[in-house]
Amino acid sequence: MKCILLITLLLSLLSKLGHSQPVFVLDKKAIAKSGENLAANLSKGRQHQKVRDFTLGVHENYDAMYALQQQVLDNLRQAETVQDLHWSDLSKSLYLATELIKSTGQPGLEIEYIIEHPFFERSPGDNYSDLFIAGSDDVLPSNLASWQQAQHTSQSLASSFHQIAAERKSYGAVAFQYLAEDLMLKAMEMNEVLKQPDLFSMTEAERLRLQSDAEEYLQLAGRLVTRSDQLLLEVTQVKPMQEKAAKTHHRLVRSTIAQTPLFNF
Amino acid sequence: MQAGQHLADYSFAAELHQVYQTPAEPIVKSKTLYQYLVPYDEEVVFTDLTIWEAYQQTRQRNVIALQEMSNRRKLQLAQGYRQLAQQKIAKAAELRMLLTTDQRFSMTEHERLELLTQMQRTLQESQQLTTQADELIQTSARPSWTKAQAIKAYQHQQERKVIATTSLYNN
Repeated sequence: MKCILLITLLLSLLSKLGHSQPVFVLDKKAIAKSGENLAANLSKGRQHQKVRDFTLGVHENYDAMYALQQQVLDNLRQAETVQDLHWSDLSKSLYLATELIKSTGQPGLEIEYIIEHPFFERSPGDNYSDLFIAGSDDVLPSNLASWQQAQHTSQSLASSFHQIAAERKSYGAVAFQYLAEDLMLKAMEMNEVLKQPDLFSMTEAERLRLQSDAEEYLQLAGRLVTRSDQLLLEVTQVKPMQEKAAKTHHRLVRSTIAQTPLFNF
Repeated sequence: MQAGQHLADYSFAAELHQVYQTPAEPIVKSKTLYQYLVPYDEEVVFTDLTIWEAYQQTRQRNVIALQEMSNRRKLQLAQGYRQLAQQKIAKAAELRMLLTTDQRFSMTEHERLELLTQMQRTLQESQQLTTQADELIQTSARPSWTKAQAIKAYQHQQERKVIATTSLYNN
């Protein structure tokens, strides 16, 4: 650009030096032509501007759509509306279930009576030979005294296992009772919450399905309650302990009779 | 299905009801319940017959109350199941009508079809519930052994009363 400017300046200077009188040529055709060109170019420029604006608009719309989609995704990621519900609180079920399953293999066991039982501490082979007096390779007790001793061990082991089972059954009954209450609470809550407008954003199909889930929870609660009752009733009917009670009764009756004088003189 | 509601009616098992109803740590509660219900207490040595019999009697009463509670709860559940079954049929019919109506629910077609399938399942569940209710009624229709004894004793008493007041000769 600078070069061109310099050259034109030089040329104009030269022409001024060469011709003192400049010559003006009026070419009307050329003027008209350039005027037409100018108008055409202007209209083209306007069209281009329009196209550019339109493209920009499209671009903005597209950006808005993208942002909206991102916002929807972010909204779907939120858990605030559900995190305070009982429905999403599974801690109770988890706690009760793990307590029920725990065995000696796990460290940090809190239920003492399961650890204490010899059944779970010794090897299964020892348990077997004690329960059935002798394993396959063992020698049978040699005399009557040791035989009776072995029989006594076997019986006490079996009855203590029954006792442990009963204790665990009573624990299971309590656990099922609590679980049933929890489930009922959850079902009722879900039923209430689903009816509220503007709380959850979900389609109606999802809503209906959740409601039927709540109904299933209710049924499950009913089943758990009956199971809990049944377990408690089983606790009252432990065979070896019933035998022990009968024996105690017999012993006490006999001792009372022995101590009662027949005639009061 | 309120827990422990049925036990409250049996005043002779008030303690058991108290234990059963109060929320406590599961382990503590289960141990207490176990002590109330188990046939024989290993930790106590009984030397007196009367004390032993009193202990056995309270235990027996607890068992009776528990059995009655279980039976009553089963009957209540049966009733609930029947109601649920009826509701399910009604719901399925209503939903079928509404789902096939135009412009009623906004959901995708897949959801629509799936709901229809689920309704089919709902109807089946309704049948199962009715069967379950019948089974529950069957298991609890007969009174428990202790209850039967009590009823029989009362009947005997009434009969004896009638016999005692009937005069042999009508002069």
